[in-house]
Amino acid sequence: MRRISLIAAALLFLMGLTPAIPFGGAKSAWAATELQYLSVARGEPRRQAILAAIVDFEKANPGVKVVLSEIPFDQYFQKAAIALSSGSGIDVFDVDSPLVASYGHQNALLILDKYYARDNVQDFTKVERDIATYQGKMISAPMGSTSVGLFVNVDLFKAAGLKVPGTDPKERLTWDQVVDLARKVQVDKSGNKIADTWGFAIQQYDRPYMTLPLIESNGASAIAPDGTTVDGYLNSAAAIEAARWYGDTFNKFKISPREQVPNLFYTGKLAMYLAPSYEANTLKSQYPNVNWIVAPHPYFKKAVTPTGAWHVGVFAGTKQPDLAVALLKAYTDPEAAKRNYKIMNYMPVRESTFKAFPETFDVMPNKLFYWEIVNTAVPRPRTPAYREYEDLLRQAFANIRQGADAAQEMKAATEKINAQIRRYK
Amino acid sequence: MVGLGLFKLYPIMEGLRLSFYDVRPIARTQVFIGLANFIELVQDPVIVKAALNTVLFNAIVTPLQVILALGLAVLVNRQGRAVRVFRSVFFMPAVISLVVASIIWKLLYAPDNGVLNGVLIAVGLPAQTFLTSQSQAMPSLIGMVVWKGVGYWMVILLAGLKDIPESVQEAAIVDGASPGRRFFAVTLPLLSPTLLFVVVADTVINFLLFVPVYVMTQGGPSNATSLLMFEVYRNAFVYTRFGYAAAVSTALLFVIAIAVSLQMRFLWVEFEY
Repeated sequence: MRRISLIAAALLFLMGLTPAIPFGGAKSAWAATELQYLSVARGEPRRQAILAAIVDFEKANPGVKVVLSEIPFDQYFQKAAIALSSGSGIDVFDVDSPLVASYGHQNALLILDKYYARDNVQDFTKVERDIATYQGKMISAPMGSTSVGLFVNVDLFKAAGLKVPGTDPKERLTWDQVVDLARKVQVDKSGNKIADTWGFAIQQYDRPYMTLPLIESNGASAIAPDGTTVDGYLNSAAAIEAARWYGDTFNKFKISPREQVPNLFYTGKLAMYLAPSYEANTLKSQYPNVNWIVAPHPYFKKAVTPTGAWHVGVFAGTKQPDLAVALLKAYTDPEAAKRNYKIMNYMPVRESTFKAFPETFDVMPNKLFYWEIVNTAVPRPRTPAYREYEDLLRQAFANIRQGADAAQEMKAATEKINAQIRRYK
Repeated sequence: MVGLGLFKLYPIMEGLRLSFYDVRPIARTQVFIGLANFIELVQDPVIVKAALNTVLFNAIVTPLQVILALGLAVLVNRQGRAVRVFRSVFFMPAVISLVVASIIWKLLYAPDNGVLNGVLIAVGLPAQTFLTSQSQAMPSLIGMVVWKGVGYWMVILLAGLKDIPESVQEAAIVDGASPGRRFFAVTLPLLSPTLLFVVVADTVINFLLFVPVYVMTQGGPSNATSLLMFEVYRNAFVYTRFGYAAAVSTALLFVIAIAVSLQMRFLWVEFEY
């Protein structure tokens, strides 16, 4: 009897911990006059911007109620996939901009062309228009964007007797110059060969958002023009050389910490910080004592900067496409975009928004970010397999950061990514 | 029974069914592909590496946790205020959330600014790479997991020790048995049902371990710490390959079932007292 009880207990234990893959999902409560908006939770300002759009929409559409569901960023893609898989219970949803092609390939996004006047579409910056378009059709509406610059701690440069880098794109530093400056400005007070003040760090240090411009700046491409292969691109000599340089910043030049240390730049422990445009808002509002400027994104052979952030799409399976598009437009049309900028301070996606705030975009650092978005920004590769691409390339760069051979890692990543891309053919 | 069927058996059967399909959740399609997922997983170097890692991880962690937990349980199986304090200290890691513990240990292990390297450098020893090197990542992970689990299993074994009648121990003392002989000839056999439960439950938990890998290493570097459960997660929720993830999950279920059966077969001891 005791043995049977024990086996039963073990079996229950086993079953209780066995992972089950959810699929299908139950249908949500659905009302004819209800629209479901699935949004990524990215802080209170963004929430306020969405709520303002919902107020406008509900005023213009009496009797229709918008139900807003917010999901933390880390879980957003998984939850959105589950919600979309159920085929209902979602009408409008936030789309991470590099995933537009992935959703498009899987017919998850409503084609928006018939809802948009030409002027409205042309008002989006070219790079965002390109991201929103899949197989020649507009399937998402850009909401916010980003650029990246080299944030420089002026006081640390002065203390080291170094000239502070210029902010004009013509004064753009090469990556070799950055290494040289980082070595000079870095401080190791205790002499233990671990810096007390670091020379250089990359904010999202293994995400393709930040690492792809390195290889693209060195003359490589992230993917074939038709999006069908990365062979000959990620494993090219130029890509490997850039990836090796990336690893050297941690292991050979030793100018960057190998694991991210929170708040290094904010606390004056980092001289140069390659970081997205929104860091300027954080520094202004929360760290007024840090004396900083933003220099242009450094380069190897040509200037390439990251861009892209969030778009909004309408689920192709929505029962109420017209209403869903109306909600989308209430959040992303020109006037809403201006209001969004006032609330969120995101880099705009519309030319009309840039022009509406000359006091912001004619001065640094936003003047520089705008210039980069128009002139040097390259979006992440548009492939249905972007999630896999991102994860596998991220692993490769993480390994390189931790000392693995760049050539071996980039070649292995190329094979793995190609295997994933083939699944979508 | 209805609850058991609905919340335990149904998900298992559904997982088993999905493992024979190519599931595209966003496109809302499921295509029957027979054994293709299983054929792919035995040829997938990442899954094979994760399977080997999982077996190695279990072969080290489970015995280590059980032996240390048993040792601690024997040490604190007595009365006294100091013993109660030690019991609490040993048990403390078990009440800390696994996520929080993983974050704390990741910070401890940080190669450039971590506490452990700070201590090593302070005493004149070279800094270590810990989670960032292929050779040290798995031992570092094992260290954290052993620390986290020992206290929990200690309490269960302690309950088993308390369950052994004092009269049996007293009889052994009267018979002149040494402490060592009493432990191996009296305590251990009488503790065997509890010990078996601990071994089986610990094995299951360690086979299904996910959080420390997710938080501390993401399976890296170069898949050195990737365990099968992490690959289930990665395939299901990063690559949205639910069918393939279900196949890995199903394979893992069978591996666990075999491991548990072997443990039942070889560790089961009939006894009476």
